Amino acid sequence: MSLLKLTLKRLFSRKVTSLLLILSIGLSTLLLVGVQKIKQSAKDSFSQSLSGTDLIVGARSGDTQLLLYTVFRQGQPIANMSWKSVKEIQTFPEISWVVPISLGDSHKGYPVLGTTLPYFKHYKYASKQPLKLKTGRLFQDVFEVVLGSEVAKHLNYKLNDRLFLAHGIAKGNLTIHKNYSFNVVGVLKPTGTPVDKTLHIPIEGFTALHIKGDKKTIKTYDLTPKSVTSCLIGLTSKISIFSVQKQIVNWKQEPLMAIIPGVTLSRLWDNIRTIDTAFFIITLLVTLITFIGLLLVLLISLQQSKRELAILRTLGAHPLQLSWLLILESLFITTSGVIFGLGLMNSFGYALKPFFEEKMGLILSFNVLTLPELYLALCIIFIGILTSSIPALLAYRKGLSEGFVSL
Amino acid sequence: MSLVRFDNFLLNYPSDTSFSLQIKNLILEKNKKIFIEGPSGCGKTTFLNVITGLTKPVTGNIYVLDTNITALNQVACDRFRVDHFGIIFQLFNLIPYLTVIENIILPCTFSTQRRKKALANNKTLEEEARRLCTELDITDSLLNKPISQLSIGQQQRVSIARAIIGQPDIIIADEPTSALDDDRKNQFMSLLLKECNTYNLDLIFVSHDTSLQSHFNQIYHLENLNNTHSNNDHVIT
Repeated sequence: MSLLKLTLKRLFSRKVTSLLLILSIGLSTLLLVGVQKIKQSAKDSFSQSLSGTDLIVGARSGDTQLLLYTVFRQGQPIANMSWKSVKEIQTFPEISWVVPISLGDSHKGYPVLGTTLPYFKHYKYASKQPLKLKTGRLFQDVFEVVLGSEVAKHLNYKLNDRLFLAHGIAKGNLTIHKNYSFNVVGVLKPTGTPVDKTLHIPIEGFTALHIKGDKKTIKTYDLTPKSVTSCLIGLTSKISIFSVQKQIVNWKQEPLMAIIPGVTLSRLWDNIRTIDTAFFIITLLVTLITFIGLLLVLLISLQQSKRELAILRTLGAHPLQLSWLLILESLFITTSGVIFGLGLMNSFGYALKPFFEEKMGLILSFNVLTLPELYLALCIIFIGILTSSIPALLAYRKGLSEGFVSL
Repeated sequence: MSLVRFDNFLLNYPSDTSFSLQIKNLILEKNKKIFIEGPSGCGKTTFLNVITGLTKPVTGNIYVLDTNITALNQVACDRFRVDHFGIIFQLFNLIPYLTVIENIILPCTFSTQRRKKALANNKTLEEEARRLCTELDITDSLLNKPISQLSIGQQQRVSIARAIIGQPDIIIADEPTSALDDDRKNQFMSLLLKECNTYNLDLIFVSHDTSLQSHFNQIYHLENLNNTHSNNDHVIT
């Protein structure tokens, strides 16, 4: 009979204690790895919301505020920037493209974004992935709308459906722009970014919404916007980023600001990191308490099985083999706990995936264990072995010093 | 070749000055059934601990089968013990969560020599354990049961089987009959002696129960052996 079999037999003889330990280590693993996974997904989802855009320009407010409402549709701008400024900025030799963005209206809680067709070409997310159509086409007419994937899915819209937009984005009773209905012409593929929750209309359509009239007469109006919320800018060369930023900050016509999205995103993430670190420390403490529990059980077990270890010792087991018995016991409990925890995380992940996607916009991949998560899992197993080394050392020393003589 | 030889042996504990065991010269011969008798607390178990190398003397040497076990290091001593001794404990001391078969083959887990000897008799250790069980009237239905479900009588037999598997040279028995009534005591003694005779094993039996003396051909009083108590002759027959 091998030492491993003997260890397993020993463990099964204490089913309840062993199962409780496996459960508590499993829950600790779930907490520790799960929190890391959610944090990483949140970070990825957050930092990959926008790529390929060199600058975001808007009315002067705060960096974070401009980023939040332009990219994440959170909060509201203090002021708009004039269309004239947009056109003038567009003439800068360093600027390759400018995409205007108008926000402020909504549809059943989802934000409406007025923009131009280059938006779909230049807006990139994750590692510079462009937006792609799932069905239909991009808007060509003033009263056409392209839906984000989540809007289409949750409101069950199909191509050629007609919808009305509401003025404002606040919750509660909003004024519906009843004069103008928009025709759904396209649905975008999921991106895991706020684009999924957005309705995209032409910027002229956005202007039309705020002019009294009807669909027949409105097209005779000049639908060029007077102002927009902000604009995304792409440069011909990254080198000119700071000079362009400086020019915009010193803009004479109106107070404007230009932010580098990557820099502001990481600054924003750094602010959140304090909470993230606090959460991580709490999780570490929970894990530490679990391992103190494991140590306690092992020490009690050592005390209780003194006679049994003495018999093994007398029957020829070397003190080192007794130590191995305890280390293997701990290794088995910890490894089972970690596997159980990861399994639990997968199960919860599948069950809660729709919730995370719907409520938080997080696309989580619970079935894939990343390298840092694998290290974390191995670290838990290592701490388990380390914990068992205390009773193992005691057993070894007792074995050597005749503490386990049995006759 | 002697079975066990004590040479100027002294054992005492700094923490317990009331106890010491001193045996200047003693030879236990081979091919004998040896009975060590003495009242409780006189050091019978310590005597066996010393023979099996579990306790080292302060001074002197102990030779078992002509090997100076006091000169062996820990690992070598452990190996020597499991290779050459089959041990029957006072309360049988079977491992409660192991089955009958697993308890019997346990010494072969730690002794290559005994494993080899056991496998010379049968293809597997389990088969050898089954053979011993048949010999000791342990029924098949008990073989895969945990020890906790066995009666005292059945546990006695299992403990004998565990001691004799792989045919060690010496069987050590530490008051195995102390908790048994007369019928069970006699039954146990008959069985043990039968097995020792079958496999030609030497037996060193320790007990305070003088009524068992008739089963043995060499009898020692530990109090007489211990020179710190007296200098009487070592052997009474």
